[in-house]
Amino acid sequence: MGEIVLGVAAMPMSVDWARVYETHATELAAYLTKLVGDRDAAADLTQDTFFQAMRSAEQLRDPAAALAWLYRIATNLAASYGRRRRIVALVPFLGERLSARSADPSERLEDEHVGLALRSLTAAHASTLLLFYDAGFRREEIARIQGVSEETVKSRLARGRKEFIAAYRRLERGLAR
Amino acid sequence: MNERHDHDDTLDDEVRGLLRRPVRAPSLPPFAEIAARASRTRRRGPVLVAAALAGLLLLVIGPRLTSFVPASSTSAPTCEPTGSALDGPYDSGPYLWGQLDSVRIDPRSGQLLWTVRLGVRASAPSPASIQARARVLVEGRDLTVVGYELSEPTSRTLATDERVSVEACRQVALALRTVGQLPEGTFSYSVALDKVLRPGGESTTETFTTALACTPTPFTCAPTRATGTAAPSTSPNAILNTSFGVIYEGRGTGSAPDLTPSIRREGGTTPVARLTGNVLNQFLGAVAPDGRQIAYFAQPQSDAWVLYVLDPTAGSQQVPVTTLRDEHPIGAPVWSSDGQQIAFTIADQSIAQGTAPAYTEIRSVDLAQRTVRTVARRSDHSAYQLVGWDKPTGAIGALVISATGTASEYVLVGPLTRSWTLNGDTRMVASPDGRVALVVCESSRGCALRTTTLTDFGNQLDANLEAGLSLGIIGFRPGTSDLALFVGKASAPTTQTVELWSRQAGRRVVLTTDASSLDSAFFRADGSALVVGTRPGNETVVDLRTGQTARLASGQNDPFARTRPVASVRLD
Repeated sequence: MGEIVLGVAAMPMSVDWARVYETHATELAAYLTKLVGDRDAAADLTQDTFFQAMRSAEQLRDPAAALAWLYRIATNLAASYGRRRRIVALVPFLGERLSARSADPSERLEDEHVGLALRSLTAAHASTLLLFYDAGFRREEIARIQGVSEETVKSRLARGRKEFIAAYRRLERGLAR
Repeated sequence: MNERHDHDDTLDDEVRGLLRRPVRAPSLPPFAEIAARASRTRRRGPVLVAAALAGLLLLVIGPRLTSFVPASSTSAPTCEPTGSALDGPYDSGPYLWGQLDSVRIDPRSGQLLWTVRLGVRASAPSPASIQARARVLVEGRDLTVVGYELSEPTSRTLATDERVSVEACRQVALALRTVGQLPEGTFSYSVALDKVLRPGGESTTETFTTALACTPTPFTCAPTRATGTAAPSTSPNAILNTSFGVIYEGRGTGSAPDLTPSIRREGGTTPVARLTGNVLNQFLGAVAPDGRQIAYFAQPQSDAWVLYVLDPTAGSQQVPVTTLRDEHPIGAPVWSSDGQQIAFTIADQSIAQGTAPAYTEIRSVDLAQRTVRTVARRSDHSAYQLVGWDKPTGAIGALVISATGTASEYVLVGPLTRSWTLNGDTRMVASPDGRVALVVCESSRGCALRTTTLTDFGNQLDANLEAGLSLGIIGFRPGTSDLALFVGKASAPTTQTVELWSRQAGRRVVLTTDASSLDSAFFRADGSALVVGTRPGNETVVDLRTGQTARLASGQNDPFARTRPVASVRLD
């Protein structure tokens, strides 16, 4: 995870959003793609994240925290997106659902299993795992991003990791049958 | 920056390895587009003037023609669009494509000429009959359309109601001539075209929309990619019912007219009503039990949420009911069964920042009296989420979402007060008469469907289904106790069915779809049809009496293709 890029010529301690976008938009889009499982939606959410961040930039007291702030906005937007889809989403029964889909455990299918397993978790657990294991944030940073205590982050990591691995292994077992 | 968690290192490494697998990130626009959008939103000055042009072209394939362009005089065979367009080309269904060639000022008359090129693909079953009808709007004001001209393959004025025959692999260019005062400065146009195609007697309606930025001196226009793309929708008239409207969610963030939620007639391609937007332009609303009114939360200003009521049968007037300041709505409101009251849940603003709320309340508003009262309140960092409103007792059922994001309790508030403990994530729907259906899943056996009532929640009836089912609830069929569900089976993992379950008639498969994606599903407001979407822009309307199906929208080029239809409402 790179450090936040600050503007030099602009006002002291203001955020150079162009450089932040150039440096971090792709990784933020990848995070959102993994979180929501839809590239088009992730593209929209990434743009909305920067749009909201820039629109309310005056609320950002510490420019050095801009990256965590971006992830916070992105996580909230993804949760809203997830809530929109929630009522019609199939309650996953992953161990069986894909068992006969393919006898060839290709990489694409493995990626699909990772995505399915991730999205079988609650949004809070999924984002916690991604922020910690993929984006590389520390627990205290995740606590600030999610607006919860470090203890809650610790609990989400423990439970989310357990549920994620269980769901992923159910998918793998289904594949092998 | 990484900090190793102090538990199982092996498990840690496995999870990290899986979650760090690279994904193909989506392509993103250049930063300048986002900066311009943010800048436009921050300062809404006179420089940027919204304008819209809505056009209507009627295309008919069939024998009833009043005018012909002989095949020998049409352009050289071109089955697919060629050359450069100002915007497009866009697919307009299986047989047609269209593009905006140019927008220019006629120096002699000062009138605007909008040139649209339409082509017929090789697969078309018969010549197309094209009739031009257009409506042009700038800032909500009509620009008068004074005439239509054929500019290719021959150049001549088209008579009123004249139809032009175009064979497969041929194309024509039509110019719409408009008059009307245009705003000074840089302004933008939204261009929409509605078309109707009748292959073999079956009609389809098609639309595409684009956005143009134009400058007056010298007059030039260029597409602005910040807003929508094209928008075809296919709609066999025999199945779609234009007495009903479909509510579409909006897109992205902003209050531009093509971004906020809207209502279109079934199969229609232009909005009959635009709703005020909100931060994500979601439809945070619900349709009244009689299907005639909608209640929804929107943000006319960024710092306030307003609960609006709209009766589309009476016009497009949004009536503000109550305003939330420094508070945030949670989910959609719920109507009382008589349509006289609305319940909604709120929390303090901290929920918008992703933190657990300091307090949450269930409130109700009496529409006749315009009085708002607090029905229940909690201050334990949990949040209410409404389930339904029981008709006989007046009690409101709600879930309590704990600070960790899971549903911890089901509570009854109002005249009756009671609570039941839940275990984890629970999905349920309620009918206006207080019936409740919920899905409970176990990894060892699959999902179960249980039915109960809002007030007797602990007494749940298990539907006694076979093992290995995946279930998703769509909702109760209006006016009945029938229930629509998505059903996946372990024995058929690549498909899933949309089913209607009735106590009297048993289970009935309404539609079979690919298991990979499901996006939206809802009943027509009178319960006569189901709308099922597998992705935005790909929704099927199923007539529940005949089983016949029709497409609601027609493909990726529909400007509404990436917006999601979410509910049905009566329009007439």
